[in-house]
This record gives sequence, structure tokens and C-alpha cells, in this order.
Amino acid sequence: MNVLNFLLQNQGTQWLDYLLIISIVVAIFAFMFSNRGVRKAGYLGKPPEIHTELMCIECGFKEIRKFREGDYIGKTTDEKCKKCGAPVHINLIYTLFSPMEEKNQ
Amino acid sequence: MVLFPLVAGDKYLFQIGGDTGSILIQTIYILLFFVLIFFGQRIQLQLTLMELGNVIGQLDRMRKKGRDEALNKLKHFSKNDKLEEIFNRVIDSFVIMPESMDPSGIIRKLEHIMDIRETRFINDVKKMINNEEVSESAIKTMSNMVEASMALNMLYKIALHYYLLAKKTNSYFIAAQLQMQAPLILSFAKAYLQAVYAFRDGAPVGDGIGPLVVNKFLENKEIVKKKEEYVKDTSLYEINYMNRRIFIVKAKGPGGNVGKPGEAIKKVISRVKKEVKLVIMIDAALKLEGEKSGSIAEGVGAAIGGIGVEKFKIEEIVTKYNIPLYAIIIKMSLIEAISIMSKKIATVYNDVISRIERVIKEETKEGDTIIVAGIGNTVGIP
Repeated sequence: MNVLNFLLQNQGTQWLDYLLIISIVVAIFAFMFSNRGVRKAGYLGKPPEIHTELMCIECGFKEIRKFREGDYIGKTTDEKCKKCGAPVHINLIYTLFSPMEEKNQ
Repeated sequence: MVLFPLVAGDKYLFQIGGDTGSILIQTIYILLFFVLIFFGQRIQLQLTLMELGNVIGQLDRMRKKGRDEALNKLKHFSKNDKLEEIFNRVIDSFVIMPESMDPSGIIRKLEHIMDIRETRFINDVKKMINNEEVSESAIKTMSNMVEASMALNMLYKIALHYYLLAKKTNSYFIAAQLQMQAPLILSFAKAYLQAVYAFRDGAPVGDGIGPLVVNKFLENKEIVKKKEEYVKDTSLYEINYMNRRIFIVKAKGPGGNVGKPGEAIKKVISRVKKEVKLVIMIDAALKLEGEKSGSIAEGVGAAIGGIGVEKFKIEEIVTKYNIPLYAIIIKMSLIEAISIMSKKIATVYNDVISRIERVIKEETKEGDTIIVAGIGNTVGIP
């Protein structure tokens, strides 16, 4: 309040009018640009990274690799278990985060 | 004359009687006052339309992205030069629901209409691809992808309709209705775009948790009988477990398919009649905001979505033979249900299996016959 009184006594009220006008102009521009930002960015929902969890049929050792086209749960692949060399099958296919969680990461 | 009651010492803010600048600003205030009184709603309408324009723009981009992704996938397999022409025709196709003024027999009519629609849709996708080397399951997954793209197109068209209607009639209230729905419409569109990605890749979606659970339930168990196509697009397995005869019903995978589990359950019960002592249904269900994704709940009733035909069949047959109908649901949001299954949802299957076993133990005796149905889309799940 002391600062305001000082300004009013020494500078008059004219500066407040200008401050108001500048604030209005800044608010209008901020509004316009904020909308433009939304329009520009949009949402194209990038495809999530998919993981394939392989499991050894013999020893149950699990390994995760990137999803390949043609993968499905239960499929026995050509890959071998890194631990015992036995065939592996696809145990699960998933993304680490759901689309909503990914947004919050 | 003081309009603004802020007093600081002997000076007044925004006063008339001062210099020219203050008079000008005061005049602007008075003009603004009348402008807002007479044109306030118009200004509000323009601001709302501006915001809705952004929403429409986003929906348009999502629609185009979904369409491009779907078309690129189809082009990868297609041997048809007229692919785009057929795609454009299919994407604008529609279904007219049967008349419900006289509801008697409406389920049969509805099923008939939906069967025709599905057959025609699959045939159209086959025409688009025109490649005999592409498997039936891949065609079904691609038809799901086209359907998701259709849903995006429809959302955009409906939103655009109300946007243009508000603009044409200068009606703030039409614009306000769309503005209120906009966040929901956008979240549906996001979900459908994620569905396009999921079906493009052929990876399991959240809705597939039901078939995934029964698939895991079957693992390491001796299958007594197996019928891949027990009824249209639906498989039936028979196992002996916990000294009980258990029938497992699920849609036929690993293509994108929901099958006809209601028809399959009806057929099994009609065959073995009163021998069936319990039906357990496992399905994904929409969670409420605040509930955890992947949380499990138990209840009674037919846990199955869709237009209601399959639900009706199950309810009718279990009522006829007085069979208890139990449901185990796995909760998730709409976006999670139709986008690629997250780890949080995929890893709950063990808990669900424990619950199935507990319910079987508690509610039935040794030697009883039970039906366990995994409801949902089998994309990426055999």
C-alpha cells in the first residue's frame, strides 16, 4: 500500500490507465496464441511401444523384446531360451503404460 | 464524478474531470458496458465457436490419421486397384436398427440385421484386399481396424454437424451443448485412434482380458474336446479340472473377433440341460473415475457388452434352467479397453484365475458341469 501511495502521489494515476490497456492487449494476445497452440499441436496419439514377453516352455525363464508383426499370445516362436536353449512361447503382449498413463509420464 | 471507488490519498482512479486520456478511457468503459449488454451472447458464441473450431480441427486430424493408418495397412496387403474407392464407400456405410414400437421379437430382428452387416463388412474388406494369401484372422483384425476408423469418421461428422448448425443459426445454446460434450467426444476419438493402432499391429487390446484369462486358464490342462468353430467365430473347449467337467467358451482368435458367446452358451446348455450347475463370465468393464485400472470385482449377471443380443440369449437360457450366473469383471477405462493392453491389465490374469477356482470350489460339487466364458475381442489371443 505504501508503494501504491508513493506512485499515486508522485506519478499520478495516468500510468494505471496505460497499465490496464497493456494488460488487456496482453490478455487478448495470450488468449489468441493459447488457442493457436492447441490447434497446432492437436492430438495424433502416437502409437505406443509394444512389448512381447517370451517364456521358456521348459524352465519358465522370461525375456522381453519388442513386438513383431505376427506375434500373438501362446505362439511358439523360433527363438530359444537364453538360459536353457529350449523353445519359448509368447506369454504376454502389452504396453508398459496405458495411453492415459503415458500422457502423465 | 467518481465511477471507481478506489481512493488513494486525495487522488481518484479512473475519474472524469481529469485529463483527456481519462475521459477517453471512461467513454470506452461506458461503450463496453452497452456492447456487453446487447452483444454479450454474440461475443460468447464467437468465443465458443472459436474453441469448438479447435475441437473440430483436432477431430479432423485424428480422423485423417486413422484413415491414413488403416489405408496404409490395407494397401500393404491389397491387390485391388479400387481399394480407396471401396474404402470410401465402406466408411460411409450405415445400419438401420429395427423398429422397436412393437418390441416382440426385436432381438431376432436385431441379430439378423447385425449378422448381415458383419457378413457384408467382412466381404467388403476381402474385396478391398483381394488377396487369397491373407488369412481369415488377419482379415477380421483389419475389419476391426476399418470399424475404428469408421467410428472416428462418424464422431467428426456429428461434431461438425452441430458446430455448423450453431454457426448457421447463431445459436449459442447449440454451441454450448457441443462445448459441454467436447471433452467426452475428444476422449472417445482418442480411444478410437488408439484402437486403429492396436488393430493395425494385431496386438491384444484391453477388452481382450476375458479371452486372455480363459486362454491362461486352459494352459497346462488336458483338453478333452476342442471345437474351433462351435458356433460362428466361437470356440469351445472341454476340460476335466478339480474333478468337474468344465466347458470353456471364447471367441476364435488370434484375429480381431468377439464371436457369439451367447449362442455358444445357449447351445451347450441346450445340449447338456440341467447338468450345468454354474456359468461364470469374465469380461472387461468400464471403471468409474477414481477406480484403479486392472482392479477385479465379482458379481452376478451376464457380463457382456455389445448391442444386447448375446446378453439376452444367456439370460434367457440360464433363467429357463435355473442356472446361477456369476460374473468376474476387470475394470478399465474406455481408452484402455480399445487400445493395446497395458501391463497393469495383462498381468491380472493370475488373480482372476484364482477367483474362478475359488468360485468353482465354493459353488459347485465334484462331478458338476460348469461353463466358463471369456468375453471380449481376441485380437492377438488364440
